[in-house]
Amino acid sequence: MTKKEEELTFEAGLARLEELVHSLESEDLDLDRSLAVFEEGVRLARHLNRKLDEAEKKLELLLKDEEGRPLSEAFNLTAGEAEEEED
Amino acid sequence: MTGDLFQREILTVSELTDRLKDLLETAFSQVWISGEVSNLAVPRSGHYYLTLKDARAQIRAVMFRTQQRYLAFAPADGQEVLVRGRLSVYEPRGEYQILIEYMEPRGEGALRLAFERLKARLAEEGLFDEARKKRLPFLPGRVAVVTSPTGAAVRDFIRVARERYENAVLSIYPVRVQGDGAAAEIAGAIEDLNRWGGFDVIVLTRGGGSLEDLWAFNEEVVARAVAASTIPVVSAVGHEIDFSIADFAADLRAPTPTAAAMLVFREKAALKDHLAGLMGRLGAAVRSRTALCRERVAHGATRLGDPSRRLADRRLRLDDLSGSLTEAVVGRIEGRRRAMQAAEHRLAVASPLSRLALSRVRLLGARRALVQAGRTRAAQVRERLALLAARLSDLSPLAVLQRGFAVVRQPPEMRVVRSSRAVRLGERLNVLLFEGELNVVVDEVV
Repeated sequence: MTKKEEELTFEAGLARLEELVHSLESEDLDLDRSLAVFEEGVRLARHLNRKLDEAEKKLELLLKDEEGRPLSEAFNLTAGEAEEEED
Repeated sequence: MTGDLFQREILTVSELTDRLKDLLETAFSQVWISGEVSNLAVPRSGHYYLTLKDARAQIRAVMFRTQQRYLAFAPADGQEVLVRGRLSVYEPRGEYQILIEYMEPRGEGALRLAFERLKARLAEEGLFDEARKKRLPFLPGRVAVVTSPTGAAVRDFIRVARERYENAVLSIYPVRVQGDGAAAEIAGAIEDLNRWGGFDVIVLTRGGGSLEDLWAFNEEVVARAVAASTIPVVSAVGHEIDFSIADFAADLRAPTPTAAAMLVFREKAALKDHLAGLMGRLGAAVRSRTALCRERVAHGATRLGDPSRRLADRRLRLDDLSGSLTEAVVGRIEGRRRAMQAAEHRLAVASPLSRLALSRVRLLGARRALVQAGRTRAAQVRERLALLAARLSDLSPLAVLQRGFAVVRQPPEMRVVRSSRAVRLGERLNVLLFEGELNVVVDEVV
């Protein structure tokens, strides 16, 4: 189950979570089943929350070396740097 | 044929003008001319009168008001334009001029034409087909922005992306976005990003500008690179109204860099809220379900009952039953005893001894009653006697006369007169009073 959750895209995970909530709210599940659904839902929600936070805020400038391989450096966006090339 | 050289052909002015008109208007019925606008005049009629010129020559031109509907700009002196029209000869003045049917600013026209041609060709090739469009990931990890690193577009994009998704990972691929070589750089960037991998979305963006400024995004090499990209490409070139070939080839077109950032990044806060809401509902649902189960268990337990209480119930019932049993036995004995006593009593009553005593009592009673009856009878007779005597005296005529009544009689028989019809006027009658009698004469019969 955990393995499967990791592979799930955020969108699919969200859809699954909505489905779980709906089934718990509307279906007449027995206690064992509803607890299992609840557990899966909580685990999924935690996972999705983690997914929302996991990416590290990053802003990089992509460059190429002589062989065309990517190099990156921090991209500093300062107001002074911005020339009005485009307007 | 040499004679012809000397054969004079004499034409009138009109004839020559007619011929020129015929010649010129046929040969130049549809021409494209590029030149500079000068001496532009717009009289009350609303027609444009102007001169088209270049370094060496000039030609008069008119654009009638009806043709101006399709004009996308207001011409002005000094402007380089491209016009389509036909040559016309005005006979009264011997002048010729261009009647303009269509006019556009120079440069733009050629580009516009190239744009439409390329667009048509690529569309026919299927490069813009909806079926080719890739869906953007719901939650992009790493987003590459192909743009000028110094323009307003990149700043707008980064700002909005950060607002919506604070931990967005953005990689800026710097390219020139206008001028020679820009298109090749843009196409090269898309190819590099695809080759390197690790990107979820490519955003192609540039701020607004003239058609010429935006031209790099209208070149075939860019369109093909966009179409070939396995990574979804979002194109946001120029302002809302500007469409580029890259826009058509891209998987998603955004009207501005800001809009592109909004399309690529969902609002993290909203997603978080949604998740929190789902968590809340999950919790509430499972709580209500367990509460329901608990209630059922409690209900079941109640129905099962407490065994110790059940025992007490039994004990009480047993007690109750044994009590009734005792009562029944005792009651039965008591009943017998009462019956026996009653029988004894009846026996005593029925004994001859008691009967003798009873007879004596009755005898005594009878004797007393006899005496009493005798006395009573005497009193009764006396009383009746007195009553009869009283009635007798009431009935006596004397008693009636004593109360004031009189008896009228007819002599000589002395019959009692009971009606006035029985007497005649002047008849003599006898009236008997309580004391004495009267002899009267009837004076009047009423």
